[in-house]
Amino acid sequence: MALANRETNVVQQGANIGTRRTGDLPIASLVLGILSFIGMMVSIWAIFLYAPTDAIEGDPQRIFYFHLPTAILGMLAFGIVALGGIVYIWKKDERWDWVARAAAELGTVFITFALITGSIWGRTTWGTWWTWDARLTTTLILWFIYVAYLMLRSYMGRTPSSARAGAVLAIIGVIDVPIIYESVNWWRTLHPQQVITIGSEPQLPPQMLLALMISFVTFTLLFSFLMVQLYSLEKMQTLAQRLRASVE
Amino acid sequence: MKEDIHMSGDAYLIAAYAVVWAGLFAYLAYIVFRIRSVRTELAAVEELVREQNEKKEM
Repeated sequence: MALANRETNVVQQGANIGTRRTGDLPIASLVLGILSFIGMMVSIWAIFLYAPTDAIEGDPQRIFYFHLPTAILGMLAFGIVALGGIVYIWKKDERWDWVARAAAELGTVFITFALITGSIWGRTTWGTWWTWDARLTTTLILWFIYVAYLMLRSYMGRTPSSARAGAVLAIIGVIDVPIIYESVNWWRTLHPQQVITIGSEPQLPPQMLLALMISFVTFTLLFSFLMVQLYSLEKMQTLAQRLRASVE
Repeated sequence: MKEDIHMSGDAYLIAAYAVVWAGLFAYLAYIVFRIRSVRTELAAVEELVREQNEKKEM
């Protein structure tokens, strides 16, 4: 009887998702998608036409407007992974695990972009693709933590033990995020210090700051849009797995 | 000589933006592909479950 009830519940959930599926994109997702697209167009205008050319570095400095937002969001995403893990362990609500998984995948993509754009920018300013600088090294460690998280979750499948193991890894791994942030203050590094710090004047001209802010808002919108897509993907994949298990 | 340096700097700028744009589009396409395949799979399994339940009721 319990099995029958469980099966009915699973089918019911499937039916609910099926109904929602016909509605296609939820309104929040559509709005975020449109705003991201508009934001991207405005960002391109601000980066290439509005922001002044850097007197020392020239045009390659414009890499900064994509590099910084992707790096910050890549770090914040790991905070979401850890938060999702903590709340999952606390409440045993699998929706938080879906949030964590979605953020981990997206964070990997963003931190990869940050590493690649940083490497290209480094080549033009420092003359090298890579150096074992504290900021770069700690960011690379975060990238490895992300990859380890994704591999672990992929290997263990969609089980409660996988969610718990992922949460533990995220809680330990998140220690690297404040280390990345503070690395430029704690160690003598080649990487420049923060251009915008809390409680002090920004070290950028107003036009550059505005272009950076536009780019940051745009990438945040894009991140949110992709998070919604990945969350619904995680939800559907879990449901498909359950339905398959109920048939077998 | 100075012009050469600036030109190579521009090439790096273009390369950086091209990597991000191409990467973002590729990733978006990959997500769309995954959503489509899981929807197809979900529809097939739902149908299978419905058939099985009908058989049980009969």
